Amino acid sequence: MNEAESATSTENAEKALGAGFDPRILVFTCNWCSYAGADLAGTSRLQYPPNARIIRTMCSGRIEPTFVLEALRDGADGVIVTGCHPGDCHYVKGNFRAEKRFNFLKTALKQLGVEEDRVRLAWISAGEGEKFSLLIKDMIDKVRELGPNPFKST
Amino acid sequence: MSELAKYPRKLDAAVEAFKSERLRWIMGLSVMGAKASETERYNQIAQDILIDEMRREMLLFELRKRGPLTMKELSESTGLDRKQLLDHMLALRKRGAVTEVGEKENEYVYKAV
Repeated sequence: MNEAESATSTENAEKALGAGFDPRILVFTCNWCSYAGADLAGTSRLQYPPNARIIRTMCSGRIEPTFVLEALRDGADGVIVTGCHPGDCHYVKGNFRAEKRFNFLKTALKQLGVEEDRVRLAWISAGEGEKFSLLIKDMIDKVRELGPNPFKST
Repeated sequence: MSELAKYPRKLDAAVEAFKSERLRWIMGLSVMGAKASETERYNQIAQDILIDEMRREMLLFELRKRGPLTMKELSESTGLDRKQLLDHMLALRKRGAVTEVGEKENEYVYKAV
C-alpha cells in the first residue's frame, strides 16, 4: 500500500471510529454447501454479528466479478464469496470457475487501488457452521479496521 | 498508483470491462490439465487483456462524459501515455466504438459511438 492509499485508509478508519461504523458485508453462498453451512450455524445457535446479508445462488460458479464490483459500488463495505470445497461441487466444476473468476477480480481490484481485504473467497461445506460464523466475525473485524467503503458516495 | 486507481468512475469502468466480449472469452477458456508454463502464459495474457479492457472502458466513459476529444486531451484527463492511448484508440476504432468527427490543432477529434 502506498502513502496516499494508507492515508485514505487511516482517514477512513478514524471516521469510522468517530461515527460508530457498522460495516455492511454481502455474502454470496452456494445452495448446496455454504448456504447449508450458514443454516447450520443458525440451527447450532452459533452467534455472529448481524452485519452480513446473505445472497443464495445455486452455485459459486454463478457469481461473476460484476456482482462483487456492483456490490462495492452500491455501498457494501465488504464482500465474501463462498462455495463448496474444491472437488465437492454439486455441479462438478463450478467452484473451480468461481476461483478462476475471483483471481481475475483480485487483479482488477489491485489495479483499481481497492483494498484486497474487502473481498474474500472461502470454501465452506454444509458441516462447517462454526467456520462460517468465524469467517463473518473475522471479515467484520478486518473491514472495521479498513473503514467505510470509499465508493459509497460516488 | 495506476491511472485506473485515480479515475473517479473506476468501478463502473471495471464492471463494463468484465461485461466485454473479449474478457468473457478469455475468462471462459479452460486451462485445466495444461502445463504449468502454458497456464502461466495464459494468466499473463488474461491479465493484460483485463487491464487493457478497463483502460478502454475508462476512455469511453471520458468520451461520453466530456464529448469529442483529441488524443492530447484524452491523455491529459486519463493519465495514459500517447503510445498506450494510440493502441487503445486504434482497437476501439476497429471495434466501431469510437469514430473521428473532425480535426483540432492537427489532431483527430474522437467521439464515442
